[in-house]
Amino acid sequence: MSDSNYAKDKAQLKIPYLEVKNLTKVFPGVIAVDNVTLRIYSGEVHAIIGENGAGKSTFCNMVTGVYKPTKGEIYCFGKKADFSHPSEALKAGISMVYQERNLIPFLTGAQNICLGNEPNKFSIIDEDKVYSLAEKVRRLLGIDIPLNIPVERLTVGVQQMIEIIRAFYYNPKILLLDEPTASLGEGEVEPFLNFIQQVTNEINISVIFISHKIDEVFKIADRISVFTEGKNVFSKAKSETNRNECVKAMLKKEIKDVIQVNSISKEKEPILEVGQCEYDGRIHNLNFKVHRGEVVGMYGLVGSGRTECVEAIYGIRPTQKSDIKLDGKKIVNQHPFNMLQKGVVLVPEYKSHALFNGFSLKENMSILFMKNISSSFGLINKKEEKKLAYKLVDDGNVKYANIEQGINSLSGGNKQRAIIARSLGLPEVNLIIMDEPTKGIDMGAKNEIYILVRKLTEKDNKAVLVISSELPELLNISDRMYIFYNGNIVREFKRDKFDRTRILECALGGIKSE
Amino acid sequence: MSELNKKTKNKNIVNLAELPRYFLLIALFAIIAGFSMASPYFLKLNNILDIIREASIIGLMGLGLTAAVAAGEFDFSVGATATIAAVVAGKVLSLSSVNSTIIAFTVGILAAVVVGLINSFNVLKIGMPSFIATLGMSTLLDGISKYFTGGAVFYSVNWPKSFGLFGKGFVFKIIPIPALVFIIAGILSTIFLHRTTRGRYIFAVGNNPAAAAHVGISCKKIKLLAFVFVSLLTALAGIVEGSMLGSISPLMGSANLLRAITTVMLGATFLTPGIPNMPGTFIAAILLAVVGNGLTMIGASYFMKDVVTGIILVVAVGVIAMMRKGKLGQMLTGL
Repeated sequence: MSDSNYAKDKAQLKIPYLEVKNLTKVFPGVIAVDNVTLRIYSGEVHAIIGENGAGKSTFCNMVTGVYKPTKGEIYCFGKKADFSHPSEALKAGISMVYQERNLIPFLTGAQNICLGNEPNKFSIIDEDKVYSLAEKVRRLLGIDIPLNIPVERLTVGVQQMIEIIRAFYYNPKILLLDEPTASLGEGEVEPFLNFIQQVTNEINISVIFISHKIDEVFKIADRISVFTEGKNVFSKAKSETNRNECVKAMLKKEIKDVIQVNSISKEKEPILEVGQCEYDGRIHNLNFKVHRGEVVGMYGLVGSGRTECVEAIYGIRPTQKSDIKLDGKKIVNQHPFNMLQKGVVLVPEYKSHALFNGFSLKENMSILFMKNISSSFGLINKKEEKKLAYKLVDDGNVKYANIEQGINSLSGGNKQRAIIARSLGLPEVNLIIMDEPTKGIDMGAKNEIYILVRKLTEKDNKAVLVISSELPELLNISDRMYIFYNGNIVREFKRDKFDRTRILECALGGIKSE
Repeated sequence: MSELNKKTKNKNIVNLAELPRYFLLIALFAIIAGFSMASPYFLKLNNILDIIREASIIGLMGLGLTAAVAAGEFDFSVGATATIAAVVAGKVLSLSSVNSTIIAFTVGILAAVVVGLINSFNVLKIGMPSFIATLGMSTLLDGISKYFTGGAVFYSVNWPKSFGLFGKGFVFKIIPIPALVFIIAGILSTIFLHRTTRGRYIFAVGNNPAAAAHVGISCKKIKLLAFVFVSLLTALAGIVEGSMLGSISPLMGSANLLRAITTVMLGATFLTPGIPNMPGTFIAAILLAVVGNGLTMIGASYFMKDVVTGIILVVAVGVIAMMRKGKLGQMLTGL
């Protein structure tokens, strides 16, 4: 299939600017990019689409020389390329605009554009020339934005344009854009996409457009590649594919169910009920419930507002208005301390948000239980502290050499076990919220967490709320699932109605209707 | 911290790689040994007690500052707060209607606590970095102290005898009261920071505010506690100094600021490298006093005190930095 495409392209006299063959990148325990073969042609916008962790960013980082490929070759304009640093890729004509803004706020647009390559006279920066050089690139691209004021006074959309101008300052032949619209407001996306399309055609460069928003991709791309689990599922011209095919291709292969969820648990009394909440300066529709004895999954793309939602409920994120009921009672001014008292505990996405790296393993375990191990004066009973820590780490299967060892000497999986063990040590724990509990840990440790989550709900009649970006994982362990899009919950799925395609569609586009 | 009561059950008699953690104590004994050889009077009980008395002022300020640094904040106003406590106490006592030293000292301490609360408000409510908020507060307080003292050294004929007792008096005719105050404060501070729940929370907040919030610790309450703790100990230092000198200079506290900071930094090289701790600060304050006392006793030039103090600080921190990189361990174990 693809060979015939390539033949057709040759007929249209398009030259492959970039060609990768069998590109593979292996990180310890995970194959991030798996045998990818791709051609990127001049004058084309080539979109690479895929779920979080599908290997898109790793692919880009190999092209620009940030990572060295484990296997495979990269050919740039027909020549074999072996970049060991992004600056070499830059010299060869490959520019990348990263997802996060990389501008220095108090410098002007022109100063930011020339940063690192300032024209100078006797080592003194020639500010006039800086401005005129930046202006030249700006005019060439036909962007109408001011370059003489500090960038911090400009909107995010304009800042994005400055990054693009900066990328063009180096005369690139290949431009990589990593989720370029992620930080743009709604009104800014459309003009930006038009601009990219226009520039691509006029200057005859090739653009690699990384995204997980399928709408955008179909608006802008000439050619689309779908990445799944590090593999390039297909590369097709836009006219030869459609949305449906792309969404289907993005779905990962079925992983073997290690968890047997026999019957859908009957609805019991709700522990947590949440309605509309206001935080981060806007109202979020979070109508959801968590019942005793069930695992509830929260799925959505990165940035869809899942973490923010649980942080607001747990009381870490300041909320202006909230509608939260715990065990039927309305909660006001929620704070982690009160939540812990009421038996709600949050296992955060980042281990650094749960562990104190200046503390020993023992101290990290006991910090949640200081009241229980100290006298009424607040004097810590060292013996009790040790006893408690030993019990927690043994119950939680944490592997360690010495209870007094620094927490940072534990592996990622063991740190996660320690955090979970600590949370489960709470005497009255009813609801455990886990934010990306399997992120960055190996398959075995993941399975352990799946089994634990099911045991907690089925045997111990507790409730577990799991946030994950891995759909198969949630399909595997949850009784119900809520889908996030743009900060709101847009759909609920029950286990007997789980439908991968529909779930992904909701997460990608916020489709509400049946 | 955990390492404080860590029992090193090592097969080696002395684990050489662990040695840098005790550098401060080793340096103290080495310097004491040196001075006692140079001067026969150095190791006399009177002189030792005198050294502890000398250490008490910067030591008390250092103990307070240790809690603030452990909580991840800084307090540049420790010096000026000490002065203001002494100035307020002195002013109250100079009023003919008040002749209770205890009342005057209490009012002085309360004035310092108010300063601590204002610092907390600026840092925790308004959100100023403590570095800058307390630097501004320090300048402001020095100005206020100058206004109250008329810009000169201040004393009053109305002060009762008991005013001087706190700084110049003795218990059992031999132990200077400031030395006793310092030792008791050192023990209580150590218990507070290293043995109580609040102390553990102070380290937690200083180490990782995000994680502290996740486990239900209120960062603001804990930092407020740290700021009030600083002001209490600092007030004690100011009153001890005023009482010891029998007069109050509007800049006496700020003159001690850098030395107080030095005790915390030096102290943080002890036992738990990089983490401020009360025993370390206590030993560091004694060390600085030993250097001052010993050099005077052997008749060294006036600038030698600064030179030696500077060398000790740089070497102590350097030893820890090398220990972190593992170079020193290699060097020592390779011997």
